[in-house]
This record gives sequence, C-alpha cells and structure tokens, in this order.
Amino acid sequence: MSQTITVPGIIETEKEKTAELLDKGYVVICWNDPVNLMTFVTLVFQRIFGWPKPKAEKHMLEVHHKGKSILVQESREKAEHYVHQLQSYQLTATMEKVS
Amino acid sequence: MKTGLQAVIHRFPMKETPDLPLSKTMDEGEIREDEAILRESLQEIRDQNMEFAVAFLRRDPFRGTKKDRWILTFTEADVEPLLKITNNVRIGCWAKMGYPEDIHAIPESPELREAFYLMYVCGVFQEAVIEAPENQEEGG
Repeated sequence: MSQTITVPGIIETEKEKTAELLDKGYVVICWNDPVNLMTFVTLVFQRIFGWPKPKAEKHMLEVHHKGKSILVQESREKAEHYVHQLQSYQLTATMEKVS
Repeated sequence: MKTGLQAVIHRFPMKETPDLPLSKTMDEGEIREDEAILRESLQEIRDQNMEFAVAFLRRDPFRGTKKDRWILTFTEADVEPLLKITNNVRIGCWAKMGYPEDIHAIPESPELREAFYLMYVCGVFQEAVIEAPENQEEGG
C-alpha cells in the first residue's frame, strides 16, 4: 500500500525565499568616480527615483564628498532593478546586503 | 557641435566601456545568476539605444541658422537614450585613457587626445540637454 509523504522542508524554503525577496534587506549605493558630471548624476537620480531636485542633489553631493551615497533600502528584487537602471546610465552603482 | 555629436553617436557603443559589478560585497556564487541577468539587461538596452542612434542620425535633427550655428531639436523621448549613449562614449573614452583621476589633463598621444576631446564633447552635450528648459524644475 502506498503512502503519501509530506516534506515540509521544501515548503519552508519557498517561504524563506519569498520573504527574502520582499524583505527590505538590501541597499543601493552609488559610488564616486572622477568622470560622471555632477549635473548628470543629479538628473539620473531624479529620473530613476522620481526625486525632487534638492533631494537628488543632496545624494549627488554625498557621493562627491563622501565617496558614496546610500540611495534606497529595498527588497532584493527592487534593489537589482535600481542597479540595472543606474548602470544603464553608466553610474557606478551596486547593491549590498544590510548587515 | 553637429559633427562632434555625430562623431560621438558613431562611436557608440564603445568596447572600452567597462562592465560594472552588481555588488562589491555579496558572495560571487550567490549572485552569479543575477550578474548574468544584469549583463543581458544592459546589452538589451545598448541594442535599443543602437537602433535609436541610427534612427536619430537618419532623421538629421540639426538645422542650420544664418550665423552658421546649428540648432539641435530633440523630444523628451530622445533625452534618455541620448544621455545613455553619450555617457557610454564618455566613460569608454575615459577607460581608453587609462581611467585618469585628472580628467582635465590633455594626453600626449594623438590617439588618446582624440578620446579626450570626444569625452569633452560628450560632457558639453550632456550639459546642454540637462540645461534644456524641460529638464529644469522651477527655481532649480
């Protein structure tokens, strides 16, 4: 006689993966470089994040003076999306796990 | 400016323009698949921008004036691809020059000098697009 065996571990893994995707555990960072124009960086921030100019300038100046700026903290999927967008403009942007 | 911008667009995409990592600290094994997706996504965008570049040059958006100056006409829809194309070339030229910290220093060799001036033209054009009234906020 056959028996059905339930394997709860698999279901648990899927739940963990979904939780990870939704959890805002990743930051998007823009790093400084000597070549991207400050006005260009500001406009890109405005366009990608929908920020008003003062906020975009604040983050641009943070990149310029401190070497980097944490732009947003998001889920893994959204953080990847923003990195794609920023890198399509050739900005030096990465995503990092929040420790 | 007309020939400069045409030269920029003709150089797109530059092979010297480097790929950037998805993350500086995340484990390579963990993000290998995501890195591959990033490369594919950026290549798709470059392909779309290449189509745009061909169409843009074909429609010849330059118009001469009586004083031998050129007026470049572009729409809001042109802004994003134009900025991406010019920055691809700008970064590619910078990479070709060896990633100098001082981007204002004129290189010695003629080949690198060409890259330097092309990088400069990209910047001039980017500033012109950014300064366009449609890209300005009130009081900005």
